[in-house]
Amino acid sequence: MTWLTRSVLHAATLALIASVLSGSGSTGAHAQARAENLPAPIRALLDSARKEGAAVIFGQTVNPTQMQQYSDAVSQFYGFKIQLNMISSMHPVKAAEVVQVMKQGVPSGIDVFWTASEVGEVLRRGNALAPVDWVKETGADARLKWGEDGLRAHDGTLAMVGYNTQLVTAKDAPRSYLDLLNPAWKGRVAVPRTPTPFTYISYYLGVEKTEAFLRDLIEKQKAKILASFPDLRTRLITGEFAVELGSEVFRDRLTGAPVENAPIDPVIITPWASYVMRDAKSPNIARLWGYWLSTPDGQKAMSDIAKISRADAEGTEFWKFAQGKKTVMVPEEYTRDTGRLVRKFGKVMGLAR
Amino acid sequence: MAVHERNDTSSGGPGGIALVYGLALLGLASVAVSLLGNILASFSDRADIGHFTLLNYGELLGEHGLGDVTLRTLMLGVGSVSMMLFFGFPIAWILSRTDFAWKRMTIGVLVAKLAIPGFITAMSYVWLLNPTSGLVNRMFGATALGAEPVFNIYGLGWICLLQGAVLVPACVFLMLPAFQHLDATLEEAAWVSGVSPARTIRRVVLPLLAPAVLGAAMFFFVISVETFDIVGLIGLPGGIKVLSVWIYDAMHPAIGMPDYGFAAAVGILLFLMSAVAIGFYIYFVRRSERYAVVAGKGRSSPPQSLGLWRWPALAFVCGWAFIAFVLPLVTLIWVALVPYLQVPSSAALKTLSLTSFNFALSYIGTPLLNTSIVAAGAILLALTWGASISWVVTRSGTRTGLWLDTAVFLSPAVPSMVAAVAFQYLGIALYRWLPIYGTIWLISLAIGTRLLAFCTRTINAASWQIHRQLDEAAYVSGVSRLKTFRYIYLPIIAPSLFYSSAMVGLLSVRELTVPLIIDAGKAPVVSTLVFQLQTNGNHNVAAAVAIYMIALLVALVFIASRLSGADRPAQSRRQAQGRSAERREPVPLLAAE
Repeated sequence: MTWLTRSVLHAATLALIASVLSGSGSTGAHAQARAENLPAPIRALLDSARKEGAAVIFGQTVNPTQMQQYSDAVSQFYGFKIQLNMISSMHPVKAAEVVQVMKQGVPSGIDVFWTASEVGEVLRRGNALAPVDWVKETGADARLKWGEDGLRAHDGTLAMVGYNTQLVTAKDAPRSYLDLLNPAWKGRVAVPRTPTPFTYISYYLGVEKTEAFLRDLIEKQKAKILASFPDLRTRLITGEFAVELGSEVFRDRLTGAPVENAPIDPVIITPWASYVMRDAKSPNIARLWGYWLSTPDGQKAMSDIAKISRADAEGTEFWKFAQGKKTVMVPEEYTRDTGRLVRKFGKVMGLAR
Repeated sequence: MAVHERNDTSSGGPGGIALVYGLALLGLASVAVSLLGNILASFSDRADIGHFTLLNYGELLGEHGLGDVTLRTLMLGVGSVSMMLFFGFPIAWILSRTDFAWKRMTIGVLVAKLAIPGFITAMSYVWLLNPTSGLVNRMFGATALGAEPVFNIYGLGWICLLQGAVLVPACVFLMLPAFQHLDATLEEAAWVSGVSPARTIRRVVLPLLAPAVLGAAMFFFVISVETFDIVGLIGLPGGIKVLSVWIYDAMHPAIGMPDYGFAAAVGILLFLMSAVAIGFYIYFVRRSERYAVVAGKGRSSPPQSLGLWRWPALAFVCGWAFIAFVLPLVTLIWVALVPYLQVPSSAALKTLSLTSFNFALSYIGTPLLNTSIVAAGAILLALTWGASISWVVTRSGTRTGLWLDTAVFLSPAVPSMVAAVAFQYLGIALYRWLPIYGTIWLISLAIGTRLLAFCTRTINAASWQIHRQLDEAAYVSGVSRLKTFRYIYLPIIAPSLFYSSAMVGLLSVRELTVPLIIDAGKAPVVSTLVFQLQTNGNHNVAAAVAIYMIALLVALVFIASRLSGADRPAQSRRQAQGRSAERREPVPLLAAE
């Protein structure tokens, strides 16, 4: 190797090292600046969380790209790599399993349960949750505390209505639940095979009025009851049904599907929360995750990745939809005790159980 | 090497067969997990298994419309099986007993059909025949408000037709080995005696095939009344209540814990219905000796020439393929190519793209590896246990065999979700000694056990046609029972082992309920990936993953058939195996062309 070649290689190597150092320096500085803006309790968790490195979240159904996007977003927020694995199945079934598993001393394998209050309550009663004071332990906004152990993450939208834009013009779209009783929709409305959306609606309409509405929807309007929420959206997109009650269609709109959320006023929301598991292997990342989701950064990321957020999270899809409408939040205590209503409305829907 | 060259008994006396009994017992123990799990759960309080109560049965008996729902479930089972046999019996016949020229293509379609999930078939028919926007109804202008639809998919008849058509491949693969073993001697004797072909089929062939056909019918009756995918997509919107809908409702509560107790009590009702069907089957099997036709000097018939009948035969196969395979496959391809679900139109054609196939490739790696491990494990378990159990049932000559067979036969009646939960509890109970809870190993064990009944049905049907004289001749010649098992029984049932392994592999790959319940998040498989993509609204990527899977499965089955020698000429196989038996091998399906 000649002197010239060696010099050039040395220079190139030095330049490379310098550029890497300056880059990492800038990233490091950026992370440091960001960390300084975090609440002190969260800052205290960072070192331990860094050692944990990864966490398992039971929550939303995501594809691998979305999973990586969540990991990248939360890593960027805290300034170090956090690898998340998000899994999902039927929440009540999983909650029942987890309670049984933990009773037997077998690890649940989950760090955070991101779910609705009703399921959170099953976990709490089954002694599967770690008691977390989110305000003290993470410095989260006290208004977002949800129940005894949860921190509000996003707002559930099971009481929303969607319509097919090829079959229904924006002008004719329903603006209230009672609009669905218009004879024009007869045989063209689909609902999911669960009374849950109606238990939420009953918080706003009242139980008697909701029962009468549901009875008319099933008996007079001949609403079709479909097995699952994805099925509901699928058949709305294909135009088999003109209107559905039970799901938002934010994600489907993005693909160009001819669907739109009906401008039902008020917007009834049922918050979902992050719950840390009692046997979490990564309890610190679990707290970081819950805190991050509650921040504007987390809300924006959720909205970008999965089109979900709190209705009050400025700039998100859901926030835009809720603008100009009244928002009714179903309280945690109400959702905890809806068993009686589920049975009542289930009977109207002709569900055996 | 010929059998008579191996008649030393030094390495295995009669006790050597204990290994076979041991494996059969292990299989039975695994089946008992789901059977006893179901019984235990039916006496337990909701999800609190072990807290005993009779409340579930009280609730079940007090359920409004129990009689109607039970009767409708019976109709569903009988209707589905009738449709399945309507298509399956002639196809199995054409493939195994005739010189049909398109056997390879037919087998390919049967295999590929197995890889298409039932819900895709149901969904494609919903798009075609739903009363409000179905394409066919649109063609007749029957979707306008107030118009009467020409077709309405939401009926029990359609569910039976589609469920029957979907079950055809499994039914054909289950019956094929028995059809292939059918001895020609009696058939030819009937012809020589001047009996007409139609009468020969009715009086000679059909009775000989009775155990296989009845076994298939009863097995798929049990499957039909338990399966939910087509019922869920067509029955629920149509307000058609059957017992599987009650199970679904119990396992998918709107709030709180799933009600395993009630689901299991409904499962027991399914058991009872299945038990009646199985009792009927056992009545035939107890007289199975009369169906044994392959003895030391037996032989299979050469393929019958179809002559001009080949065209109606082709039309019949194509008719089934169109209903059960082409339409769903075209739907799947269409869904993969468009950005969102839409009916074909000129506007939709402008949005076609291959993007979803690229996404699918980037997602499929780990799930594919896990799926391969699950399938391999399930095949290994189901085949090992299946061959052993079938030997005990059909060759041991003990009454225990009948009970063993009944227990295995009943196992598919346990609702999939209840069975999956039972295995999960097994994983939890064993965790301290064997940490398989939440892993692909437990998934493999559960699926292998769920599919064990399929293997035993296939192997039993073939084994019952082999006369015990063959075993007895070996024993008299001093060959040990274990060696008889290895060198006589196994080679003769080899085709049924091949079909069983292909079926178990294919069905493992598309199994969704078990991995969905058991996976603790660390073992994604292809079916759960498709489910997640579907749930998440990524229908096109989900369809692309499914298409990759179909292509891969078809390729694998053909490779397996080549490696196993199933596509080699019969004579060369016999030479390779060194066998000098007079019995003629059935014409290999994949070498028909």
